[in-house]
Amino acid sequence: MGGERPGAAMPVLADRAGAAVVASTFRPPPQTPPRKGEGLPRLMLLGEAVVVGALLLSVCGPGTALALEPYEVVGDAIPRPLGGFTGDPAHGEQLVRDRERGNCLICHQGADPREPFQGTIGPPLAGVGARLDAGQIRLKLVDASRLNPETVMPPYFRTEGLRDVSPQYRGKPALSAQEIEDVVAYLASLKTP
Amino acid sequence: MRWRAVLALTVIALAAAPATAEIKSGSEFLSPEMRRQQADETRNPAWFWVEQGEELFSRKPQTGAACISCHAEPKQSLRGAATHYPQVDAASGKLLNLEGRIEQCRIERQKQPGFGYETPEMLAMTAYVASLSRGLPVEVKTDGAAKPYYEAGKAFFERRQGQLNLSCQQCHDGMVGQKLRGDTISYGAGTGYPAYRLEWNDVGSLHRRLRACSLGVRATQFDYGSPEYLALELFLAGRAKGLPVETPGIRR
Ligand code: HEC
Ligand code: HEC
Repeated sequence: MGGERPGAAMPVLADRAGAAVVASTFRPPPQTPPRKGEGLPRLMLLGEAVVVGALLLSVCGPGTALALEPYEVVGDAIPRPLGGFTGDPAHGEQLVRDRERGNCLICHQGADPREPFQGTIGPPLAGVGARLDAGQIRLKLVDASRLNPETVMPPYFRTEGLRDVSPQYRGKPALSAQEIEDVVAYLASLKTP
Repeated sequence: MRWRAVLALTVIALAAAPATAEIKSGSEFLSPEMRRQQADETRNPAWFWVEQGEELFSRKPQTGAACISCHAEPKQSLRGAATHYPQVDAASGKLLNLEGRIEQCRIERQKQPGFGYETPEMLAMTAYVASLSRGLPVEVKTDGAAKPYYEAGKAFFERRQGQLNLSCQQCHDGMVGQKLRGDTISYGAGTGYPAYRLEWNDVGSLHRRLRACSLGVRATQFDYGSPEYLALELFLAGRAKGLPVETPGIRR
């Protein structure tokens, strides 16, 4: 889930059981301390002082908080589009699949059963457009905890009340208002379970 | 009204019982083939690190003594040592994990420059020393001087964090057995570390794994050996009490 920085390598590893393991979730931090060579341990470094915790965090500094587009919750929905934007369902579909941006399939089974390694944590997304209307979907994406405080569904359009956010994401919502609208337009179109 | 008192006591006892009873090791969530591979020294790649650690343990530096000159017969004298880590260091009052203790010996007793967290030497040495406790139950102290650290680790485990606003607990208690993409979520016991992860193509420490989980929820990654991860490590070990040490483990 967003475990990878843009540009980091994405190895496909073969597990000895034969099944291909697509290294997908919770990838190692790309900035591990300096190491001489991968694979087998090399012990020739003995005696060299190695800097502990030289973590070379390539962070772009604390994000500056941008004011999010305001919205109004009515019942279990946000009836009006964020920022008055019109959603693009094709881009929404991309965002849902994109491992870096939406990364929804880490937890949800999407509409395409051919997609490998989908999650079983949230409800399947097929047919969600028949179960919920656009306004209800919008609120689930923006901040599902308004409906269920214990929810596991991450808030995709919220910056307040979050703790220890990594500097590169700090002060920014996971998806922009336009992107939320794109995803809403896509999900609302998924009528068949 | 004695039955009431009894009932009340039972309720208190149940409430106070640690939730550790049903915790299972991460290896229980692996394929049977990977589990066999972990158990088989000739097929578990992490044994290379153990062997390197064993060699390093008896290697005498140009100045100063080899580890083995203080810890003779390590197969007996250090059997079970790893089961007691992290522990509070009596002299400094600080919480030390196995890496921390090894580094302390290296610098203060062996008078050598420290290895540094996550260096091949530290990974090899930790894997070797922990492998001497393979099969023995985790037995950390969580009371007395350790209590504040344990409590801090517990609080960390339970609080939501990161842009995705998830706690360790939500995944490693609430969603155990569920699929998160290609992975099956385990209890996050950590009893196999340092472990060889296919995804890393390498052996890594528990703190490297924790950094991956932090990054996964887009939360701050704390430093290797940071107080935050040390406290978390103690909490995880307390929660895993009674589970056998599996180091060197194999994980996906
Ligand atoms: C970490 C896990 C996780 C991730 C990542 C995630 N979801 Fe969810 N989602 C859930 C869970 C769990 C629920 C049920 C929540 C509830 O009812 O409180 C849910 C509920 C939903 C619902 C309501 C479905 C219904 O039938 O009620 C929608 C729509 C949804 N998610 C869409 C998305 C989209 C789109 C993304 C990515 C942009 C996403 N989710 C990412 C876990 C997740
Ligand atoms: C959104 C889900 C999620 C969250 C939140 C999360 N993890 Fe994990 N964690 C995983 C997955 C998936 C794996 C790999 C599969 C497994 O072993 O559980 C994993 C693996 C681990 C492991 C290795 C277990 C083993 O035996 O190999 C430990 C330890 C761990 N997590 C601890 C934590 C801690 C501590 C936190 C909080 C700082 C945390 N996790 C937060 C999903 C999560």
